[in-house]
Amino acid sequence: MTIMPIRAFVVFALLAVAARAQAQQLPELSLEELMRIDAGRVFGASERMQPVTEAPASVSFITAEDIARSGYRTLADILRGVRGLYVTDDRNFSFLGARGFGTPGDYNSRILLLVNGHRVNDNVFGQAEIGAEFGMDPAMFERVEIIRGPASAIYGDSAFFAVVNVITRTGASLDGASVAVEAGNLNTARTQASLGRRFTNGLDAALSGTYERSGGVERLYFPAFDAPDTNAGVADGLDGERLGQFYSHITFKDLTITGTYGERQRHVPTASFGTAFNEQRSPEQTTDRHALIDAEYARSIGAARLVTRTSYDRFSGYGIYPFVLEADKPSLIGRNDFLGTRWSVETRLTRPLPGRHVLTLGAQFIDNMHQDQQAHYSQPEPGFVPYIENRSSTQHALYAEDEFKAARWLILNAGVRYDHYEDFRRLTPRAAVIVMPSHTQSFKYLFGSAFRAPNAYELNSFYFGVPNLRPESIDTHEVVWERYTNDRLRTSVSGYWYQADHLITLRPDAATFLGVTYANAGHVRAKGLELEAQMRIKKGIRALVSYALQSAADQDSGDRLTNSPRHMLKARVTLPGPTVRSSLTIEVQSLSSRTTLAGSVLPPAALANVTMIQPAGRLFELVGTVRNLFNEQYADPGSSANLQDSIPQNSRTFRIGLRWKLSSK
Amino acid sequence: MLTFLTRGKLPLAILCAGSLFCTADAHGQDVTESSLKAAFIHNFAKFTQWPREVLPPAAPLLACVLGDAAFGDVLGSYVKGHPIDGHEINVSHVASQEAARSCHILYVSGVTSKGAAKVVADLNGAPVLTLSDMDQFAQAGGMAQLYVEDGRIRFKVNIDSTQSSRLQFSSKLLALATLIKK
Repeated sequence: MTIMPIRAFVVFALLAVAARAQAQQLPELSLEELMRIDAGRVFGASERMQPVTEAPASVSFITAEDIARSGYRTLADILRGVRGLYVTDDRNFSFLGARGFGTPGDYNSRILLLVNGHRVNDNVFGQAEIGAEFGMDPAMFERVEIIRGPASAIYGDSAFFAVVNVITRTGASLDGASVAVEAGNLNTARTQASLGRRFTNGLDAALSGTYERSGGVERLYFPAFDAPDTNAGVADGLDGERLGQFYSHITFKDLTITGTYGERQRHVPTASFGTAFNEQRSPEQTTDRHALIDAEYARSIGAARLVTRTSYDRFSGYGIYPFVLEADKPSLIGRNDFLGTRWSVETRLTRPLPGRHVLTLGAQFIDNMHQDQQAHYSQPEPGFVPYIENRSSTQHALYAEDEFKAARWLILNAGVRYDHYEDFRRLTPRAAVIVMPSHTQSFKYLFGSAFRAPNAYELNSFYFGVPNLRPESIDTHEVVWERYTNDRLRTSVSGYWYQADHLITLRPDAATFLGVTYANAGHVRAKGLELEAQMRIKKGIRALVSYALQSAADQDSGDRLTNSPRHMLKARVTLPGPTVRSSLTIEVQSLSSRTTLAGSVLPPAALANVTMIQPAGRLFELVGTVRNLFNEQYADPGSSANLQDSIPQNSRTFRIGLRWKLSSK
Repeated sequence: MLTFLTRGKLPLAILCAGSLFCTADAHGQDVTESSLKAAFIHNFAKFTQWPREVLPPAAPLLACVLGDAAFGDVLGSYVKGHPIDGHEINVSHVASQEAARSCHILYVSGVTSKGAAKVVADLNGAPVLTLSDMDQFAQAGGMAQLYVEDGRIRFKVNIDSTQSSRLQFSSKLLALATLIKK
């Protein structure tokens, strides 16, 4: 623990040394280099491209270049490096914490995950899948935008703490063929191939496939299960997973069609939900699949832009849960299936109006054709009745946003969205005042509300009885100061406070099947401060440093929230390697202590990751990544589904890969 | 633990120090879009040749901005102290098309698309490099258009417009451009 500041100091010392070197100015850069610099625009803040400084939110983004150079292999890897975000892993799913809120057992339903602006939270659990379970390979991400704060005034449900918008790669961006193979410890092997091109007639096509399997940690020790009849607390070979991901993207003229499929199957070593520990014959496991077909037709009509899209999502999966009813008898095997299908149609018009206004109008219709959950068991047992709970629902929404450039230095922004669900209606506002004393500086005051609707899982009457749930809500105020200095340093300071009410919270209830139920019982008050500096230093060295201070408390008890670190300090430095296009990226991420559900305190943790990329000849590239370089032993808080109060995380892991790339030019 | 740290960090530190002398690479969120656009305009000036009578040696190069005055300020401070081939660059804001005729570069931004088309038509054949970040500018006959794709700035060059103007664009510039005709 005491070494955490030492490590942070080493990184900052390194940064300080680097910052002393004379910065590289824009006029010294070649045209090719300029064409690689990000223009600093964001799409997801207002569903249109706008400069980050003018967006009604505090925004970060990660580019394809950052992803490649940092050796990121999941969306969770990417988000761990982002200011103010933290990831909790229960050795099955990855959960995203934001603004001090990361309650264990939450299925990421307060973060909205978008792919090219299209919602991909499933419609059974409302889950934003960010770990290996997310059906897309980060190698296919052009950029990931993180839009902090509530955005229900644009997106409706789930845009509660943040929106994560993944923008995928085009054929022009892939530009050629590539095959990568990778191997690492924990018996990990991965292969990925992609193909992409923009043809002279304007047709742009991209295609990619990924397969990975990992044996996971061979022997995982959980003290909570340390008993003679549960293998002394050791889960043997039950940490493996495998995944397959397919991606296709075609654009011709005004039409873009995206098709993706991802499947992830994982053994669960933690014996969650009271299942048998170290069960070898029918181990606990989960399988998650997501298929998406999305067609978007975007047209410019004069200065206006009209976008119409229709999408079909299919989320399906199952879990295998072995239970021991009597010792020495075969386990009872439970199987839970879910199926969510969703068809949505959306149209959006963005149009400049006289008097320096830009108006956005949108309408959306969603048909949740299936929101089905069922469970059955390998043998009939009294008290274990199979259940089928099939649901379906429709919803629609209208929204409007106006941006008014009142003066050269002043932008006023206001939006509102009306959501119509079968059980409730909701009107959600958002407003922003943005003051820009010069083009290198902007001050923002942001106010936003958001809601999250109860999801099909929380309404599962078999598990939780008949909870009478309403949507939960949040009101957030935020001030942001963004500043660019000498075209090489960007700094951002942001302070926020929010109150979240009627949070859908798990409560004990002896009358229900699972012994718990959901109620609109949580009230949280929180405030936080975030600092970030991003700099470009001489000879292409780049650095990103961020710090977040957050204080989130339960209003009723006054206690700090479970799994809510008070401090987070992160740094990422990318240095050019010894030859052209080689690079070395060093990341350090540290979290201060967190409390668990049982009230114990997990010590602070600091992780360092290193990725080296080294081209070998014109066609090949070697990639090596070491995660948790200093072999820090740390744990994340468990959820109420776990007997363990905390779940140990991976020690040092490494991967080494070879990539072959043939450019079409 | 400290010895372990030293052992782990030392090779890294050496690598970092060594890399200070290595190749350049640039990207990131640390530049404003306006500065970047100014950098592109500066490069356009670098890779364009004006007829000698229009731009005599050592004469100042006049870069005009029509519309977005704030951008004119950015461009002005960007090009200050960065002459091209002995040409000092002067930035001025123009309000009318007549005034634009005396410019070497005319950057059009934040006006109506009709207004932009009219300027382009008016300057047809004149040795003025017309540039804009507005949609459809190159298709409407403007010489070069900056646009954002995959988060980065790209540019289109209308070959026909440049050829009728007696300006010469270097092949290096054209190789990086998306070329359109008409």
